[in-house]
Amino acid sequence: MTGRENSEDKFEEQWREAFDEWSAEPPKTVWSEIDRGLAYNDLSAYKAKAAMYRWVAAAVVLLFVSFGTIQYFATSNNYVISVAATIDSPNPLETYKWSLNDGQSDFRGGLHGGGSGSNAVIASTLSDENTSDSELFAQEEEQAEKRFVIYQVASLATSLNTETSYVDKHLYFLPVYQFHKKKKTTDRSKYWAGVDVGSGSFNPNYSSTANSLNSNLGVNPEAGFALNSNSAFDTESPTVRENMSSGETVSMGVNFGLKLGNKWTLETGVQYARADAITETNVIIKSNSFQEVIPATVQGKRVPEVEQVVARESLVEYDYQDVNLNNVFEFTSIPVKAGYLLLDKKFSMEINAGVIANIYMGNRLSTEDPNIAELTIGPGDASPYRDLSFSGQAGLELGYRFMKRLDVILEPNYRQSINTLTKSNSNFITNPSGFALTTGLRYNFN
Amino acid sequence: MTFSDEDLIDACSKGKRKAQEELYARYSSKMYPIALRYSKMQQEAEDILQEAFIKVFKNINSFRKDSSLAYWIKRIVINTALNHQRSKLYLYPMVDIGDLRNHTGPELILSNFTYEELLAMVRRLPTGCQVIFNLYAIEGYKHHEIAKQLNISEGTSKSQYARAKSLLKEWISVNNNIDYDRAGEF
Repeated sequence: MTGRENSEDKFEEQWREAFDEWSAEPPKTVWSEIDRGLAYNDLSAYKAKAAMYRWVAAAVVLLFVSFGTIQYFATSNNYVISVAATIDSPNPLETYKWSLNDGQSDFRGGLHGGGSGSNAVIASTLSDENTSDSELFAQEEEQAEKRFVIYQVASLATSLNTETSYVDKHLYFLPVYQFHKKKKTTDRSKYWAGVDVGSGSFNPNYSSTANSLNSNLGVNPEAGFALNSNSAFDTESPTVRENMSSGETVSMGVNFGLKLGNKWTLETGVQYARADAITETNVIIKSNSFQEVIPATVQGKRVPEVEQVVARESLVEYDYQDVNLNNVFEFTSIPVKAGYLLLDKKFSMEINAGVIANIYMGNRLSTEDPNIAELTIGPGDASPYRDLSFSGQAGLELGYRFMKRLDVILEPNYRQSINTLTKSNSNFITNPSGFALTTGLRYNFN
Repeated sequence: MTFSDEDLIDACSKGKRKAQEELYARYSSKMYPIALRYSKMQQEAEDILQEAFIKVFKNINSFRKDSSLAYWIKRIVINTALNHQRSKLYLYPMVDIGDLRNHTGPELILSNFTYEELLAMVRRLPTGCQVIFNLYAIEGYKHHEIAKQLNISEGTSKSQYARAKSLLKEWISVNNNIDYDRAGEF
């Protein structure tokens, strides 16, 4: 910026000197606007990070649910089963065929297998021998932890005492999304389809009118009872305490929806749902016809093989043994629900309610004990469960449009059966209910 | 406590708001008159200053210390001002270059005028003349540099400047007859 043309006069020089010396304070509002502008810039950086975190959070949720579902099924299917009883149509879960071998009568030997006791003694002895070393290690670890805590406190004190030349940058308390450019409206499309997975609690709300072996399993009224543990004989049926406690439920499926007007939606789909519960009983029955013992549960009353064996016994051998059976119910569900859109932008929020038709596919009762028979109860006339039952559902669906046509969905909901899961002539009743968290992806067609 | 420019630059590059405020306080009073010279209205000058300092803080990491910080900031303020005026610039040759020397009359003394009066005269110039007068007379650019910067011909720059100079000399010569109202409030 040096050099001068037409420098024969001092015109330019005078002007330059006049303005070179001049200074003027700008209004204070200028800095305020600069400060605000810088805050916006800072916030845009945070916004980018927030977007990344949202993706990570969505991925973690999906991974968690997917992994949980896979893990759930993988774990639940790991049964050691030697005998299973079936009724009517076969259950898809059934992988082992029930078989009877009259020649195999010595099942009691399997019930009281030795060997584990000696292992326990050895383990106990080893534990005693290592007690002093363990204490020493524990003390050393405790001291190390104390040293670490002291070091952390000292570090914190040092950092607090450090003088900083400048105050850390601050941000205006403005919502992040205020700084989104006004984008094209992302209202929900008229038609959409999606996939979803969910998990939650399953409370069977079980109650039973049967409390004796006779009523639970339909034992021959003329039969006597023999308590195996002390060889006592009795004509009175022993009391059975049976209960079904809460478990978990998982579901996965596809859904389709359409928008009715500006605010209302209608959605349906097909889901595979699986619900777990624990059946607790305190009596088992032994029969020469079975290698395994039969748990006394009212759910197995009409299992043909069990019914035949128990009904023909003139002397029912039983024993008191607390047994926890894993119930695995399977359904094909068809939900139909109406929704009302509270918010229909990039973020959407919808309250919904509807009815779910549950088609019963089967129930399997099993334990990890190979000496206890597995019962598989499929649908049909002999089943204590209805082939079709209904439940109501209400939920709050939250959606986020992360791509042009794709939404990620998260929905907490509550389900309550409308009619009982069991038939009216069953000796027990279940009215399942539970909370669930469903997540999924939705593709918008237009 | 007073911080050196280097300390301020380091702190600003880390986004320390207090340092940014300190740097602004240090240089804004020198930069504000520049923005005023390139604008017609005070609000416009404030906008230029605001935009320029945001650019300064955003690009402070790219400041190479081969020139002074004041010079670097001044360049940003001038460029920001030119961007503001660019849409308003309709630059074309206004006078015959050959007539340029005919308008150089007797030497004029500016010391009789206040800063505000001088500023009012500059802002009263047509936009094109105002910009080129600032670049040539005050900032010291050569005409070919101005021509390159504004994407105009060197002749246009010279003729615009000649027109500016002619007008200013005329206004100075009549001294007390400057219509400050037309120059706008300062």
